[in-house]
Amino acid sequence: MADDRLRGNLEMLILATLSRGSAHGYALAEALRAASGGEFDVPEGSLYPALHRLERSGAVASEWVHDGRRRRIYAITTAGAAQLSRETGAWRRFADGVASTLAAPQIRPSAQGV
Amino acid sequence: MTDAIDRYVAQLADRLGAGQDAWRLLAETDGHLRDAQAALQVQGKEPEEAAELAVRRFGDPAVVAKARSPRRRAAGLFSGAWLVVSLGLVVIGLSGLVSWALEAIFGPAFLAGDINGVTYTSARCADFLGFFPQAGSCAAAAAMHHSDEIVSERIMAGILGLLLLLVWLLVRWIRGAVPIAREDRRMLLVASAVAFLGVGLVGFGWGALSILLDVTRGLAVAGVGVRLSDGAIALAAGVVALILLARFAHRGVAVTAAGS
Repeated sequence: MADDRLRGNLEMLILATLSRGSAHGYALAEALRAASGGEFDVPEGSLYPALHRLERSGAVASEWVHDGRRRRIYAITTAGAAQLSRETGAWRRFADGVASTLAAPQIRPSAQGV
Repeated sequence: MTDAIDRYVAQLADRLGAGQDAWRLLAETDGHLRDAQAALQVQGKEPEEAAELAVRRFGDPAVVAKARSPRRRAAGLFSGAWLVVSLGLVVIGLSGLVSWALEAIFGPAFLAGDINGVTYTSARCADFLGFFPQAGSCAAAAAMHHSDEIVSERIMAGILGLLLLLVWLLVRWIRGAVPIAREDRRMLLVASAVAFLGVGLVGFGWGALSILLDVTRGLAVAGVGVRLSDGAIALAAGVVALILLARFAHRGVAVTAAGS
């Protein structure tokens, strides 16, 4: 269930993680797992197609670095930060709506009945 | 940022049919798995166990490949289907050439003569004889007319197939190869093998049975060339598709065995 919800919001979570600093794919997967307290256990391989989509859309930029092993480092761009801001706002409104609905009082039966 | 080596490897991956960006995904996957393995070894896992756990966490290759780009996969499937349709039309064109050869060797009646007992109205006979006044009889003129249609229509289909194939090659040359997902390649090969072998067996079987029945009843063999020509060519194409499918399946097994 958590995995299904995660897939729909994976790009937003990647951008949120990258907004805290550049990272290569493995570090990003570790950061996502740690930040969610282990709740998000999406297949790590799914991150790369999502990162490549974000790069094609201009939300992230990347370059190869060599630190003993060749790694592709990803960083959020200005456009990506704007996208993150929009998606975070939309998510918060959605989450508030869900929370309000779950906390709504019991429906009183009408006088005529149903 | 890419350098000359990155561009070269991308081009090579493209030539190998993997697509220009596949090499990058593979390079990142390898790096990721090695990092994960090293981290798990630090936690006390044996190298082999750490590698297996890292791979498990990374996810099923089919899921990763599918997540890469559904639109790209659809483009790959479209490209593959275009190729199959083009080759199918070329195969029809080849059956037109075989029909033409059968007509030249055995005559129009063998290729497309009407089965015994078929007659035409005098108006229709006049039409046929108008097209082929040298035929001498309504039945011969009808056979020549049918043969002419069969050969010309099949060769036109073949030319259309060649044009579609040319467009496919041109797009591939300009925009690079669009990789076709493994499941889609298997599906296209199975569909091609089933379609060609089905048409081939029905066509060839029908033609052979017609000859047998005509000969045993002492009748002139007529109208079987059309079935034999499409049957023979479709059977040949089906066998080629079957061989490609077997090679594809064998390669999959070999890769799995090498990976295990």
